[in-house]
Amino acid sequence: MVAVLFGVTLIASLGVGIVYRITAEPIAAANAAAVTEALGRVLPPFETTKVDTLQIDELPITVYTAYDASGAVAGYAVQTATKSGFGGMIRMMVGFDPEGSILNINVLEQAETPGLGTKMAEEENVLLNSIRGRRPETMQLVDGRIAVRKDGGDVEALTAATISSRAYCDAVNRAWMAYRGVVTGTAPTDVATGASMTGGGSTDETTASDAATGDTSASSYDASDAASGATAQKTTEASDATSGATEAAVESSDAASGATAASSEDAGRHNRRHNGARQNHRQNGIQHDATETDNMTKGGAYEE
Amino acid sequence: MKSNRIRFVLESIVRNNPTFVLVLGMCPTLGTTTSAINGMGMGLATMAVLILSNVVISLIKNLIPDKVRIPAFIVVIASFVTIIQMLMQAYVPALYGALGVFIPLIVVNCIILGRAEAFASKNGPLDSALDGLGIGLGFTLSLTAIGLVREILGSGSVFGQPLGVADYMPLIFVLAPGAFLVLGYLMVIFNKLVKKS
Amino acid sequence: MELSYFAIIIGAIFVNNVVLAQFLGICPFLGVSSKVETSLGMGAAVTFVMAIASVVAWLIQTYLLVPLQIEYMQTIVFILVIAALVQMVEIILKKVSPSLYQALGIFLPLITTNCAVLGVAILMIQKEFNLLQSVTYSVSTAVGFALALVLFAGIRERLEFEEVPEAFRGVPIALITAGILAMAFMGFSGLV
Repeated sequence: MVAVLFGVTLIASLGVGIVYRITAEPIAAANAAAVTEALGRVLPPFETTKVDTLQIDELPITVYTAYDASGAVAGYAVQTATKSGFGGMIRMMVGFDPEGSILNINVLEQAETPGLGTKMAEEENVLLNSIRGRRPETMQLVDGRIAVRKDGGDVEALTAATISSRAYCDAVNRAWMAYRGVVTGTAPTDVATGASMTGGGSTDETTASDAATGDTSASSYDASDAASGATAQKTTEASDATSGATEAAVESSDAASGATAASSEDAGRHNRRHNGARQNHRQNGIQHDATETDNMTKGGAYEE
Repeated sequence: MKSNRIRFVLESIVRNNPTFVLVLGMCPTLGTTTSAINGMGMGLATMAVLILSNVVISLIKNLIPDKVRIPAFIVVIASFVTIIQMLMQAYVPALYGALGVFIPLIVVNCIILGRAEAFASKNGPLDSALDGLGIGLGFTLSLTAIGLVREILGSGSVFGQPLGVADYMPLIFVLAPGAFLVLGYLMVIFNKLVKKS
Repeated sequence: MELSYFAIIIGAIFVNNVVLAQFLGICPFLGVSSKVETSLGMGAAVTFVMAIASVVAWLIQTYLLVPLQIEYMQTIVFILVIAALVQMVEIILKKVSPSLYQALGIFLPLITTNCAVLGVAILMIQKEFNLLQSVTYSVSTAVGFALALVLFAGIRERLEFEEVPEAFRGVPIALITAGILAMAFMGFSGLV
């Protein structure tokens, strides 16, 4: 009797496991397509992206630096999230232009109250309209963060959805923090009251695409690894990771920058960190496989 | 024999309609019918699980001792739900996002376990498949109808195509109370039309 | 800034009421809610099971499914655990407290197919709550379920004495009543 039940469960689990294997790739592709679409919505047309992953308060944040055909920065898109939404997680993509103004915000996932908090996901809403086109620095800041009117800021909240609106601001603040971390390479502790930011690591998206597309614009993973702390590596570190202090590590492994060894670190330790960061990067569940890269590179064509 | 089977399917769509007559599976009926597309998606997903689990259960019914019947059925149903869930996530991610928690909850939809227990465990695979098809179609049709009514009344569109009257429509119909009201009134109409004749 | 416990409690009981806003547990809501007394019994039984189920589901998710990377088995594992749990609660209750078993016993088998229990287990994982938040959330949700059930039963007890047109009798009038109740609950939405 028990054996039969066990058998049924075993066969069922096997079946489910097989389907999981089969669908894992299309699911990853669908997720990647969603990211590409979101990038297209919040950024001007672009050719390639470089991906940095960071963590703010244990939530993964991804910064996509978009380059146009000439290699100039077209904008930054930050995939950010907050747990303080009314219905739990809210994930969104925030686009910044190279000057730091917010271009657009695309809500990827939310579970707010239908008809009230869900308005944040609409293409036109008061929250978005009071943030879009502005540089967060020029807004009415409360403790260095943008905030809804009720809390002393100048962001128009959604009617009857204050918690959702606060969460929205929280996610935008995280995006802004991550954006500044990537652009300036400094630890933004001064504005991040109560929030610590840890550098996860940085991968060059164009680099990752090499294996698949044969693109030659940048060195391959292994090459850049070997070169860690050597010529093709520029590293900015705010403070020591092991000290437990707040830190932001922004690494740019862009071979094209042609920067000479700016790293003052011992190469061995750097290598460890780099590898660790990459693993962390994978575990975060953010897919950076060839499929995604492929989609991403075509991102520029999306808007047409 | 053949016409009997067709009749049998039609019978389950109208006379044994799972929503309006049997009043089963109310949670997804109310929760996912914010638009016609969502209602239809939910109905089709449920139908797929229903047909597959009906067939499998009718095939393995003799292998399973009576005492562990229900848990075994639940395992079979839950596996198919998980499979459908992964397929939807892969190929219709937008719909998957819209239906959310109601996809895994197909497991506890009383219709499916009910049909497994009442029909598939006593009949052959072909009849069980047809039973699943009939009940599933009935469920899909009612969900689509409810979704359509709510979408027209609440957001002024049909299958996502705006009618240009969105601003004049009371949003309440796509919100929670609208689900109860629309289903209640549709049931009244159904009672008037079908039960009389 | 995490969502505070207060917000979780108020949200789960009133604003996102499990029955009237999230449509979970409709079957017992329509089926068992004709008398206030039985509704209270059902509410208590659901609270009991939901609280235990959420703890067990959270532990399984965190220490079994995630480390083994088989999160996709979630639905199957959770429904089996809930079914087994309900059986266990029934057996233990029968042995330990026969009086409580008499009060709750008949509702327990119904709970396995109550989608609210599975729904809450899945939702709290989705919301990435920690253990304490999960318990808070599930207990508040259950209280919200009991509240909706008792309120609804009170209304239905009175409806018994009203002249209802034939086509409206039974489920339709219950649904329309629930719609009006849901509208009343929408008034809570500005609360937090």
